[in-house]
Formats: sequence, C-alpha cells, structure tokens
Amino acid sequence: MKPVKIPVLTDIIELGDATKAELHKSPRTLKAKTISDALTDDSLNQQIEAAIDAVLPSIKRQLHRQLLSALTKSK
Amino acid sequence: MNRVDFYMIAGENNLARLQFACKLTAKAWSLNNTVYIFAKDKNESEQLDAMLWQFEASSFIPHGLKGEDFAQQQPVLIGQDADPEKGFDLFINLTDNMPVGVENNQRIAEILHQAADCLTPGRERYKEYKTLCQHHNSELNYHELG
Repeated sequence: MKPVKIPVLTDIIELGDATKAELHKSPRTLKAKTISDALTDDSLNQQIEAAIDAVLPSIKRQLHRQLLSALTKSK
Repeated sequence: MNRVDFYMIAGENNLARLQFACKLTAKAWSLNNTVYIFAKDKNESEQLDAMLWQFEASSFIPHGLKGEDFAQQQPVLIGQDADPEKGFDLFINLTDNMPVGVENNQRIAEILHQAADCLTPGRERYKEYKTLCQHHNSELNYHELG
C-alpha cells in the first residue's frame, strides 16, 4: 500500500489521544490505496474526523498565540 | 454596574456550572463584549481555559489566563483574582465570595448549582448584591435553568 502524503499543519499539531487520533502515529502520511478509496472508506473517514476533533482545540489555541505574537511584534 | 444576574443550574454538578459559564462567555463574545471569569483556583482556571478552546468546533473564543503573555490583549480573561482596576462588560464570578471592586464591571453573572456548599454562600452574596444594586440603582435578576 503506497502511502499518500497529505500536507497537514504538522508544525502546530500536538500529538493527541492515541485512541482518538490513530493518524497521529504517522502524522505526515495518510495511508490509503487511492484517494477515492479514502473518501469512500467510512472507517478511515471516522478516524480522520476523530483526529481532527482531537486536535482542533490545540490548533485554535496555538494559532491564537502565534497570531497574537506576530501581530503584537508587527506594531 | 448596570445589572447582576443570578443563574441557578439544576442539580449539583460543578461541571455543568463551568459549561454554563462557557456558554455565557461565548454569547457575550459574539456580541463583542469583554469577559472576565473569576475562577476559584488555578485548576479551575486551567479547566475553563481548555473548555473554551473545546467549546463547539466551529467557534473561536479568543481568551487567555491572567498573568500569561498577551493577557492585556485578551477580550476574554480567566483569573483567580478580581481585577478592580479594569472593568469588563461581563464579570462571571465562580468563587464563593463577593469580589472586591465588582461594581466596576457593566454586568455581573453569578452561577449557582443546588449543592449546599455552592448555594449557601450564593444566598449570602445575593443579599450583598441586593444592597449593592440598590446603591447603584442597578437591576438584580434571578434565572432558574432546567
């Protein structure tokens, strides 16, 4: 099975709960036979949704801090 | 100080109380109001901090903890001490005591649940607010929540 590389926000995603975010075991790749398989694979999509839900609060928090830092420095 | 609102949560679940604090905060922020959440201790502050980031996937409630970087820029602030020098549009008190300088804020929210250790000090604060509201000609409201 050839891994399909999908760019994600790897710099700001923290490792989440392993039971919810199986994809975080290999954060830079989404393993699927083809993209169409990935889109029709309910189990995989459920994993994706769970992974996103798990990291969303961290993403919001870190983006907020990074933007505050950048905007404050630019003044 | 324009008004004080007491909210009575059903049951004795403190988590439900914190969740309601987050709902109030989200509503206030959506109306461009600044919010200060006066938490009882550091643990509660950090719990509220996490809950606000987790509040509804599509929501974004910019907030921070008092004393951390960028605290002055935060429209929503969480802390363990009252900040009488700066007034907020909404001051949510989660402690057992009447915060010093609370009248410097536009609106005050007190959230209670049915457990005796929350209800008893809450009733005392209600009496104190009654006097304060009379002095400031402010509204004092009470809401029972299901």
